[in-house]
Amino acid sequence: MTDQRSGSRVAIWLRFWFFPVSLNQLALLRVGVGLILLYTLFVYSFDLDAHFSASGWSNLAALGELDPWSWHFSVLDWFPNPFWLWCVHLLAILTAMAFLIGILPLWSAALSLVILISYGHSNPAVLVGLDSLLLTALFYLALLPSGRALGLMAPPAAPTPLGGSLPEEDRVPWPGLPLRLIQIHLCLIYFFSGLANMDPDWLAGVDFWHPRLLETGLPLARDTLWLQARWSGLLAYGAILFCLFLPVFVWLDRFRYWVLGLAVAAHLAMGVIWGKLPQNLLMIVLLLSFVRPHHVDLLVERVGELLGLDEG
Amino acid sequence: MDRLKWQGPSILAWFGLGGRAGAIPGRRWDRPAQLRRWVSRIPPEVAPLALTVLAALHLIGVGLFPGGTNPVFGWQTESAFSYLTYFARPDAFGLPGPGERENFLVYKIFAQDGTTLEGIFPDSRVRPRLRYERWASAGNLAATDVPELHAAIMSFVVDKLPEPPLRVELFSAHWTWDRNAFKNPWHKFNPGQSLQKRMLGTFNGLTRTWTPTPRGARE
Repeated sequence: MTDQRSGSRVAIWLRFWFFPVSLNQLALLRVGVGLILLYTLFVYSFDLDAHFSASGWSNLAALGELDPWSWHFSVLDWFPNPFWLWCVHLLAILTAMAFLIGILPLWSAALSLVILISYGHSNPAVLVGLDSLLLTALFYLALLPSGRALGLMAPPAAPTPLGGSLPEEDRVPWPGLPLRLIQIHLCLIYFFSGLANMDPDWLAGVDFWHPRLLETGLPLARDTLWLQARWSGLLAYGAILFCLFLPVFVWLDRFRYWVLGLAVAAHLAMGVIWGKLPQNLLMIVLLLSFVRPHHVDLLVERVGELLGLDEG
Repeated sequence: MDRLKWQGPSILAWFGLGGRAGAIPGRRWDRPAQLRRWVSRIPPEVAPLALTVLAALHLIGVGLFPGGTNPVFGWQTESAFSYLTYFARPDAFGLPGPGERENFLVYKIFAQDGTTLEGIFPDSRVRPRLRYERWASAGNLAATDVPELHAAIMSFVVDKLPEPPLRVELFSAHWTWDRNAFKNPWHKFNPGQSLQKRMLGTFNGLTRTWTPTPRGARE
């Protein structure tokens, strides 16, 4: 009897972590993260010398001491010469492109992860929230077979040209684990963002009117919406409640898609208002992990039919 | 015993080391008989269970140290998983960071023709926005007490000028205000009264030397 109970507990535990996934879902995650990674590297190109070479604005030795980690691993430290710095950067861009189009995605994700860590530790002063999020996404995607659909190396024997879902008996349960990790990690990010926003500045609406934000040409400058304190207060408190409760309601089937829809709208609005579209788009891409696999397959099939990709 | 029947493929298939997932059963390997017997005695749930325990520990670590730091006790972690999954950046949600709002550098250039020019590091005209965010993050860090960085930034700024200046003064700037004093509409709030500046040092254009302001004299 006890054995049966413990056996069923193990079964429930394992079923929570390992579940069949949609290859399309993994591929969409890969494409979304790959596009944002590529954009991030492209933007790095403008200031590569300024941020990472010995002739840049920063004293790299002093920055190394400011790095909170004691192990300052960075591939860039091996190449102080600007020419080789650019070679590494070019390699990073090529790797990101390989990841995007699905060439050895496990390895290209791992290599991109190493390069992204290198940028971060070479100059920790220029890190932004997007880097943390990209790092997290790449870490989990390096454990997922995301190249088996919508990629150049997708197996030709896939059930549909778009690489739709595999038959139930052939479905792979292992990738459920990293996908579950992404989901829980996202919930933790939302929860702690909610806690972090419970500070007087956010509640006073400082992020909506701060002069330095206005002078950078953000849409906030049109402050007609913010004339009423109650509206900005409502938004500030609403955002906190949303961050605190999303990690609960997103697991409930009845509320899941409502919560996801609200999150997508909120991230798009935040991206436009504060000019942080790449980071907010990455959050939206990662939220895709909460969509039911068969719904993703259905959506991809419909899109495929519309584009005429399913013929033959 | 109602055990879960683990029918998944070898973990190697996960990494694509065997063609299509589910296509490389471990029994094809030519293992020595003794090892084969030993392996066959291990319940099939052991590997997935071990992995899930690792995953749970990893998530507990993420929960205790979001952004690498415990928000309650201020503990920092350097364990391998945190190294791989996040940098020490708490603003992972997409709102403006402190460098885009409160903290930045201000420099005053005294040119050879007698004119004075005031500039801000980071330059708010930098586009695209992601570039500006990185410069703002750098400005936030440079506005703290790191004299080596101040000297390096001054040298960087002077190199960008079309002609050598007579003198350049560098300040760290910090927004501070009485939160009870401002009222809506906010655009009528006078931001000029809220900027607190501290001189960090002076660059002498004639001798090309940087003299940091003594720490006690900065306030």
